[in-house]
Amino acid sequence: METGTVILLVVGLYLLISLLTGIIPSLRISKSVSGFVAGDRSMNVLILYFVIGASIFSSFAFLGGPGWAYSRGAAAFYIIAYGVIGIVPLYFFGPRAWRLGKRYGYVTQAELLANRFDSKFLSIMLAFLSVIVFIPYLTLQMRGAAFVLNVISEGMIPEWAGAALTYSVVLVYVYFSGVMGVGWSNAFQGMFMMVLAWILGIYLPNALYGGVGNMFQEIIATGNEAMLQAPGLAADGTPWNWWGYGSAVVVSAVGFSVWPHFFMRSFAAKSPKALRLSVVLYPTFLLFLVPILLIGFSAIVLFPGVEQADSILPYVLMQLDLPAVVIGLFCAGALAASMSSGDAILHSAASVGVRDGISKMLPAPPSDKNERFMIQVLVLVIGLIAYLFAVIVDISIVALLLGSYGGVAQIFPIIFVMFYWSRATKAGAISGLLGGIIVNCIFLIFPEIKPLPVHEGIYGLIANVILLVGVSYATAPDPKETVNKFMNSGLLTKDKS
Amino acid sequence: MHIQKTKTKNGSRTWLVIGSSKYRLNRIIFSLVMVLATLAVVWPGHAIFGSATPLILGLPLSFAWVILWVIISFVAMLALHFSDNKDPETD
Repeated sequence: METGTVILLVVGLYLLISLLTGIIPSLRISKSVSGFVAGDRSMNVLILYFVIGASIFSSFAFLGGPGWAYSRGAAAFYIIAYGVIGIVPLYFFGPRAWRLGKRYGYVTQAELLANRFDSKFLSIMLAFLSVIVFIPYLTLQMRGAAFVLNVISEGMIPEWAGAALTYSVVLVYVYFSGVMGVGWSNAFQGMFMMVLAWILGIYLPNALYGGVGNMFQEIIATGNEAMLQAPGLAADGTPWNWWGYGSAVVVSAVGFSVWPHFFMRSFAAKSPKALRLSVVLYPTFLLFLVPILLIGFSAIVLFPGVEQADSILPYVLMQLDLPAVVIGLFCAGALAASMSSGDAILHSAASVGVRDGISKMLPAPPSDKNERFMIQVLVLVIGLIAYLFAVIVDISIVALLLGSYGGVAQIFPIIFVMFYWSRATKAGAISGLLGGIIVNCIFLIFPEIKPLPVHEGIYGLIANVILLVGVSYATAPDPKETVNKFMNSGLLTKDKS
Repeated sequence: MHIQKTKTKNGSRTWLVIGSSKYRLNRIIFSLVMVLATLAVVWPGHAIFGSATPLILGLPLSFAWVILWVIISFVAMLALHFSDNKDPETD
């Protein structure tokens, strides 16, 4: 068989399995908002593990990770470093959110916050921000998928067709199955990626250098030792400094657990115990970034000077004389990385957009059936908008996305005080969040006014916490009943030691 | 500062008592490990153990160090989980 045909067959088979694993759960979930958004609170450890894990295995990790290792060396370790710190808060927040959700019917993060701080404004603002951040995020995933298909097929599949093909599969299963479609397809895609990452990550250093150790020795011997010295290189190729590296890790870690699509999976868990166990197992998923980075390192000596670092993985594969099946499998793996993040983002953007935004702006709350339908429609609309950005509008969305990490991190303080600080008030929460986002944006747009070369999110967080605490103390405490509801986080016991 | 054990309905909790405040012992230990992990993978830990050589199991020291802390954190999280499970009413 011809190489092209084999590759297309493998990719086609992968897409078909994704579609089936995504569609089948729709037969089992209820036709309600809770069913669509939170899967009737029925996810077991296996599914949760992959849903949580796949969120880091996006196009960024699969293409960007090797790209960073290739062009910036040790700087790439930041992806691993922040993951292991960033997951921890979810262990504590998750079960609390779950119990409140179970008892009061919450299915999104903004709902919790809007109820604790009795503010429709907060809900709409968070919905608005989420959608703004999610659309470029989704666009990037689509471009990643389209790019890989285009390169591997040597231009046979144009980018518009690649994005349309993969994301129409995603649209279908998200539309019909909601979060359970995301969950089951992610379990399949996640396992697939893991196997592939390890095979490639071990195969390439062995095939090219005769072992991982030899590979690194070779990198050092060819004068690239500075690259492997932590914290690696900055974007311009000069050694990075600890201010920049450290603050990037901290901001990403702080933001990690409160990304709306990530946090809201708490509501989908079957039980707090299942949720906790899948959070605890998360670091095992993180170890799968190791082979991914090895792939990038393997190209440093043999293929220097590749301009577009993000294309290093498909580039290396095309240089080697690999069997068509292997290239097809890799291609499907890259699609799995893109789709398993893209589907979660698409689902959450639509859920949050309707539940916390549109529904709150309507004069009367919509019926459950109507609300579910509106979410499904928004899935299609957001998918289409992201697609248009991906193939038609040519703006730099990477910058927008990188900027959003600092913005998302600003949600962390208000989530924290919701559960742990009774004195926080509505005015404090809103001014903290707004102030943090504004300061973050100012330093993002005018980096030259930074007193220290740290991530703009850090400045945002400092302003955020000062405002949150200061304004809270300056205003009257929130009603005791509401505060206690969230401090006790839905526990029925009256034990308040 | 001393350690105190109390019984709950179906399990038990171990507390660290400092003055008039009580903290759950397992969570205190876990938090300390995670603070240590943060200092280790960012600064100053990674600055000290961040050179390219020696190679450890074929990996540069800077890489092996981060992986080591992923494993340590994983063990700490497992330990926290199992000690929390001793008390079914835990939040």
